Order: sequence, then structure tokens, then C-alpha cells
Amino acid sequence: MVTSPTEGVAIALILAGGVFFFAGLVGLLRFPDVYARIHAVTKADTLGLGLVAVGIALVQPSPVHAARVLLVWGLAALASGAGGHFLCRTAWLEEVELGNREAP
Amino acid sequence: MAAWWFDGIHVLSLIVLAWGTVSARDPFTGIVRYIAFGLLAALVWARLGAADLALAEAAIGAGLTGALLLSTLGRMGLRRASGRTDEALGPELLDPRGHRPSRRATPVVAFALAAGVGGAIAAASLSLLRTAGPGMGPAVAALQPASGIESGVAAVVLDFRAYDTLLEMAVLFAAVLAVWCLGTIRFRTPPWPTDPVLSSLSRTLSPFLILVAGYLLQAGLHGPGGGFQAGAVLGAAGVLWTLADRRALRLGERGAARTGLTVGLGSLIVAALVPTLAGRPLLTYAPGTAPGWAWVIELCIAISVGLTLTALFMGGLAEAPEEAGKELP
Repeated sequence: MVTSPTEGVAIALILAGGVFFFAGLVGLLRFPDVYARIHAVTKADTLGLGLVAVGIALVQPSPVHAARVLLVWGLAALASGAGGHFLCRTAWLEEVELGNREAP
Repeated sequence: MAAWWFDGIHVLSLIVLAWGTVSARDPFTGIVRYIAFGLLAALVWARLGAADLALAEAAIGAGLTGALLLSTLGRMGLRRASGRTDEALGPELLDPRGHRPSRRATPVVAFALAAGVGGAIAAASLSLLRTAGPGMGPAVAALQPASGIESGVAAVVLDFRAYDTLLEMAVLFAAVLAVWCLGTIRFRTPPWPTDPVLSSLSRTLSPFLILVAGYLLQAGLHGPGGGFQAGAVLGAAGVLWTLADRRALRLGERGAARTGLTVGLGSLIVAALVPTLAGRPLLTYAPGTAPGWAWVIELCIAISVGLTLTALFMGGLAEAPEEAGKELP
């Protein structure tokens, strides 16, 4: 099934990305307060998406295709980081305290 | 086999999200679920091979409708009374004269309406399935050489069915006029400081959004894309700008913006009237000129749709300049 070393590396990277996605999901569900949950899902998912993107970029037919995939990751990282900031800022302005397990 | 369960998960999630949207206890949760529903619906359209619909659903159905609903929610004053939360949605978009919707009759009427419309659509779709046939595809393909527009969808929207498109643009234009008549943007005193992350995000993403809109515009004549989708992407840039820069809220006073709002409808009216000078019916382009007309109209539609969506998101004209002028940076 794996036909070249590059493909093997790509599969390994994509699987590693999946592990980070799963970690982000567990963090989102289990972490104590809204800030920690946003932190988990923003950072772990962005890293996971980065690993998946590098994996997919490796098996693209040309550098242009690979660059496109990496651009998608760059934009997603930007949006995810900024989105996490906005959510946390809103929570802070709503006076949600650190460690508040009740707030959404 | 793999495709079967993949699509099955999509359809199940759509139904669950649709129910979650209408059964949400507070409007904010409902809107967030509705946005997720729109993104999933876009994926389903893409799986069905309808790339044009997928693009429109993702950009307008999920993205901009979601933004419009959230800005409406902010104006309705249903969020926490402290008012501090509204800053995240845009400091100036809060209307203090917020109205609460009536809660008694609304659900029954809404359910009856939704069930009626849903039933009619289901009946129409089933009757289409029964009569089978290949749909309008072959008819469009047969007429396309005469029109000269490469993309079948663009040929239908801008040539065969241009009258529909003209009326759609008229509806969008009337919507902006109505919002401008009814809504006022009030400025806070003292003004909120703008979030630096928001303004730098707007500065960074806007060039990309304009690039994507340009790509969709030129792609629309050959394949999926077109003026409405490009306009929706421009509208997203406009929404970001509205949130990041309070000067954007004076957009409605600028002559260039007002011109831009009218060019979409204007170009279609010109395209409708010019043939009548040569004695032909409305909107029948001279042989060979359809692609040229289509290109110009697509560009004008993109500009107008982008500005229309931005204006709708702002929700009105800014209050009188002499009152608010001193607050502007």
C-alpha cells in the first residue's frame, strides 16, 4: 500500500496530526474552565492541522499544489489564533473567572 | 461502501443540527448551530457535485447569514444587560432601543409556515424525481453555443435567465434602502478602544479575500464561481472591516459606496435596455456579445453584492455627523 518512503512519512505525519486533534478534543471536553478549553482546542488543533497539511503537501504532484495546502494551513492558523483570542476576550469582559467550571 | 457511511454521517448530522437549531433554548446557541448546519450543508452540496451551490451556501448561508443573525441578536438587546459583551460583536452595533420578540404565537405560526413550505418543496422534489429525465442540463447545453458563455451556470444566470437575476439584484437593492430607512448606527460615548488583534486580522485577511473574490469572478465564466460568490467573499471582508475600524460605519455616506451599491442593478438595466434600441426584446444580447456583457455584469454584481452585504451587516446609516463627528479619531 505504501509505495514510497515519502508516502510513508506523509502517512506518519497525518496520523500524528490526528493524535493532536484527538488531544485537542479531549481538552475541549475535559479542561476545567473556558480559557483552558479554548487554549486546548486552538493550539492542539492548529498543530494537528499543520501536521496533516505537511503530510498532504508531501504527496502533492507539484510544489504549487503543496504550497496551496500549506497556505490553507497558514490561514487556518491565523483564523484559529484570532478566534481563540476573541472568545477569551469576550469571556473575560463577561467577567468569567479563571477556574469557573459552570460558564459555557 | 466507504462513501455510503460518509454520506450517511453527513445526512444524520444535518438532521441533528437542524433540530438543534430550532430547539435551542437561547438564540445565540441556535445561531451557532445554524452556522455549523450551513457549513455541513455546503459539504453535502459539494458531495453532490454542485460546486456553485456549495460555494454560495458556505459563503452566504453559513458565513454572512450567521454574521447578520449575530449582529441582529446584538441589536435586540437579548444578551447580558451589562452590555460589555457587545464589544466583541462591534462596539457601535448595539441599538439601545432593543425590542423583545413576542413569544407566544410565534412558534406555532413559524412551525405551520415551515411545515407548509417544507411540504411543498418535498412534494415538488418528489414529483421531479418521478418524472425522472435528465433535468435542464441537455436543454442548457444545446443553447449554450448560441450564447457563447463557457460555463452552463453563468449562461443560465446571465443570459437565459437574466431577467431573474435583474429582479434578484433589485430585491437586494431594495433591502439596503429599507435598512437605511429604518436603522440607525449609534456611536458610543466614549468610544470603545478597538481590539488590535481584530484590526490586524482585518488588515492581513482583506488582501486574501479580495484575491479570492477576483479568482471566483474570473472562474465564474468557465466553471464554478461568479459574481454572487465573489460578492459574498467581498462582503466577508466588509464585515471584518466594519468590526475592526469605526470609520467603516460612515460607508453609507460615501458617493463611491452608493455608486457601487447601484452598479449591479444598473448594469443589468443597461443590458436590458440596450437591445431595445436595436429593436430586440429586453435582455437579448447581440450575437457574440454575450460573454462580454456577462463579464461586465458579473463584475458589477460582485461589487454591489459585497457592498450590500456589508451595509446590511451595519444595519443602517450612521447617526448625524455633527453629533458623532467629534468622537471620530
